[in-house]
Amino acid sequence: MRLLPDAKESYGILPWVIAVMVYLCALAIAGGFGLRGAASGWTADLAQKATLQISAPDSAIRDKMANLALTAVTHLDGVANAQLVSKAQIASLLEPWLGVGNVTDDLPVPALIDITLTSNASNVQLAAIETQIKAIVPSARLDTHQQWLGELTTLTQSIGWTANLIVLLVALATVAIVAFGTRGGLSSHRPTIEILHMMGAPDVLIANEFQRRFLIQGLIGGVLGLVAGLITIIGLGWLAQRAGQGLIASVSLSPFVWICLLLLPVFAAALTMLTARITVFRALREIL
Amino acid sequence: MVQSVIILITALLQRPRHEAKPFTSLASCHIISSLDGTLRPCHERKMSTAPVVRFENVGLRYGIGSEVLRDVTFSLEPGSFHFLTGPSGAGKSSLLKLLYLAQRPSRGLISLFGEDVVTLKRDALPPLRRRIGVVFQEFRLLNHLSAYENVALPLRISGARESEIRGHVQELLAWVGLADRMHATPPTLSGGEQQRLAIARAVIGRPDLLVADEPTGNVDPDMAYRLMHLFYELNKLGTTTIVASHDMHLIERMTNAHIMRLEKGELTTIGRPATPSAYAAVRSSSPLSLFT
Ligand SMILES: Nc1ncnc2c1ncn2[C@@H]1O[C@H](COP(=O)(O)OP(=O)(O)O)[C@@H](O)[C@H]1O
Ligand SMILES: [Mg+2]
Repeated sequence: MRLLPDAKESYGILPWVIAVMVYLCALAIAGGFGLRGAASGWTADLAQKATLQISAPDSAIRDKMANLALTAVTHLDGVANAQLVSKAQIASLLEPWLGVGNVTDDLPVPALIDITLTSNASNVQLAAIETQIKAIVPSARLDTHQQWLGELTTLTQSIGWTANLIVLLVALATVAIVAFGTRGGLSSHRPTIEILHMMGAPDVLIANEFQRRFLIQGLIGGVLGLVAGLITIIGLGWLAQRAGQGLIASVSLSPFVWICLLLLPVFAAALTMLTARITVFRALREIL
Repeated sequence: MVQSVIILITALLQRPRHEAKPFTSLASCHIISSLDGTLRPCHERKMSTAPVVRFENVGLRYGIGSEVLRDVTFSLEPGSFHFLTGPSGAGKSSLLKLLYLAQRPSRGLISLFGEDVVTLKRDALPPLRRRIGVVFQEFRLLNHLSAYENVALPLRISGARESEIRGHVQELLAWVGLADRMHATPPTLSGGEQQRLAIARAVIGRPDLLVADEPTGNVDPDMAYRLMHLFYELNKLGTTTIVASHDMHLIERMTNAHIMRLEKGELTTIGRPATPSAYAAVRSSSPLSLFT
């Protein structure tokens, strides 16, 4: 039996509001975790790499020094593999900036040696590599990507925190909206609630009624929002993959994140229900 | 000055008493007055003689207005039957609101079932309210529920079982002449039908205290008398009853009821029942099976 009549107004808007909230949360969670995952992929890749730069005004001397450095570096501790970046590769890297055909031999381009480090290479070893190479080729410079990686980590962490903040703010906004809606529902049902009170119905009976309604609305809204969110996430993922083939390490979500996303409607419904329940109890205390 | 009382158990029914106190599981009793030998209502629940209701110097004002009740003092003995009369605007409804805990007094002392209402915590109100049946002047039926569900509501709130509810509700609806309107919602019922429904809802839980505000204002004299009979049947089982009415004709017919008269917020007379003959007349007319 329905203790309270169905109120059209409360059934109208709330599921849509919850849907929007869940949608935003889904995007924030997927974005935050997805980016963090991708960044840690890049970090792992780049942490294994270092680049040795050898510059000299004369290209012949530069090439000789590069070969010297290459043979030297291959045998150092912490180095798994070293490879000279070919002229053609350098040219193709520079062409987008300088224009096709403008990368000529007389351009003072440094020679580059790609170094793959052993997986357990430490900072001490990197410093040792640099000193030892400098002893042979003083103009050599070891670029370990450390600074860039640090900045990247800061960026992705900030994005992650922003995503968390968004989820928190959305949850707070949901609580506020649901509390507001519950108060509205209570005042529109005020005459009925008074009669129920006079008949000795305890607050918990009325709270249960509201709780049940808001749970249903929260679930409907949550599922709607999640479906829209999943479509967006999968769509964006597909676009990212197409745009960044090879370049961007794959943006993929861990099973943990997928479970979080699928549980979002449950969380939303639970939050809605609890908020409604607490609001009803607090509001009813103001009536005799 | 009661000389002696004999307690007569007229019916002792099979089932043990339930929380919701369905009618058919009642053990009812009567007190035979040794003076005139007629049946008098008695209180079969607790034979305690402490008043069910006690008002002491109660005053009530709405907001900053003048007092609509002034220095009201009275008490209702267990199992007694009272009419509350007085002109319109005298404060009858206001007094009853204090009784059914819809309002707290501005001053004075009110005790219900021995509990001080003024200092009572909010959480303690629902159990007390479940012991009180109310017929509101403006009915206050739940328009989204059928007649059947409206009457069943007090039993549901008390947590009665569905199997018990059905029989009682159907029987009571038949008694008030609404058997064929069971599935109708209150807005589709006439004023008189709504009134009977409101009365059925008030008595279904067999309350310890029945408060009725002008319960016969919308029905013809015969139906009014029939509904009064229902109240008497309930009163006979120990329900302390107070009925606000300015239907002097009806009050005259019920000569064994106490009469309280309210004028401009003040209780002017508390009349004693004259002779119990009218009550005896009520008793001999069609008995309601669900009460006996
Ligand atoms: N909720 C209220 N707020 C303000 N004044 C009220 C309220 N209810 C009743 N009154 C006033 O109290 C007085 C008594 O009213 P009421 O108790 O309804 O009398 P009765 O039932 O005897 O006709 C009237 O003057 C009425 O205007
Ligand atoms: Mg009135």
